[in-house]
Amino acid sequence: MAVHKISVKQLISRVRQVFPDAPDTYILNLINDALVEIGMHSTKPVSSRISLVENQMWYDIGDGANDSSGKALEANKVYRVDILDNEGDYIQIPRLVDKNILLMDVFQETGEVLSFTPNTSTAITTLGETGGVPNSATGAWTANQTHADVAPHNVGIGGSGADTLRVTITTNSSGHPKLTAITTASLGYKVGDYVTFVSPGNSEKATWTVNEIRYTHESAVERSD
Amino acid sequence: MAIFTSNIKYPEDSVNWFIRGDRLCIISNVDGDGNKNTSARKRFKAIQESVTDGLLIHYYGEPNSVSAVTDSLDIDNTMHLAIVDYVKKCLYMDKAGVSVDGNISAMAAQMSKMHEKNFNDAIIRYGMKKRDKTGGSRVLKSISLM
Repeated sequence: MAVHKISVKQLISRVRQVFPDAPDTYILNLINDALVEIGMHSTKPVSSRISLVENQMWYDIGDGANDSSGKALEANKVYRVDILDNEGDYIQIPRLVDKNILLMDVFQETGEVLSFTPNTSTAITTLGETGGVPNSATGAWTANQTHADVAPHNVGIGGSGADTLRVTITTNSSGHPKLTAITTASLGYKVGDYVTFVSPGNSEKATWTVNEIRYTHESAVERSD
Repeated sequence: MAIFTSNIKYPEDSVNWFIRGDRLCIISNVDGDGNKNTSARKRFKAIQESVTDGLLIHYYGEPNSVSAVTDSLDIDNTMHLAIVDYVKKCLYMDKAGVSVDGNISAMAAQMSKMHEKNFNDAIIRYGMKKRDKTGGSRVLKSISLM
């Protein structure tokens, strides 16, 4: 025998017994308000895996964070953390309670660029802009091309990126460029930097915005003086 | 033996975590080979190795929202009736606010209060008891022979 649950449709029908004219959309909004309220009271225990990154001290658990499989974390309150040991077992690690006396060297500004906007599945379709305008190109690139190891032409506002960055850019039949992969990463970028690449085919320019970076220099928690 | 392993033999002694804002901090006092990695000045450092699926975090998550009448509620079924109470609470509150008849308005406000109490009792007051899957006696108390 199945467990009795109330579907959204059944819930609306119960409400309609008293409020026959209440619109579906409004009731759905109220249900979502209720779910947010209920979510604040420790009602949905979840376990997720995150990959450890060398020299990375901070791991995002905000509303937009994903686990290692790309699924949204949607974490409210973390109550336990386990870590893999040398035998491949997850072992619970203690929470550091007295963290306020510690100094942390973690607020670095630049790091290794991980992704751009538009993302690797989206081409830039805004053409005819002057060079350096984010998420746009000066004109159509040579159509149906794959350009490997393209170096940045320049880094835009506030940028100080080292030029080891190399990317792969493909173009479709309309000459819209799409940055499909970062083949060589580079330090020195920060979120929001504009990075311009020049078409090896016809010298038109296209500009992407740095979306995500990884802070790679050493972070440490220090003894207080 | 799992596919992935780290070089940390006793993580419970060498790795800690804490949270600041929306970020989880993982700190360790060993290096990528599992050897001590501290100095007189630095007590902890970031993890010194990359490990796929190296962290397993346990947390209370946010229920998924609903966007269509065909959706299901992403919470334990013991909480479903509480959502009915929440929706009715809001609708009665709306009714109390727009009604021109004082009696209807007062009655609607009272009904709103009743459903609010039902919701609060179900989620805040008894929520943990309702959701808790632990069964059996909570306390074993011996008879006093004194």
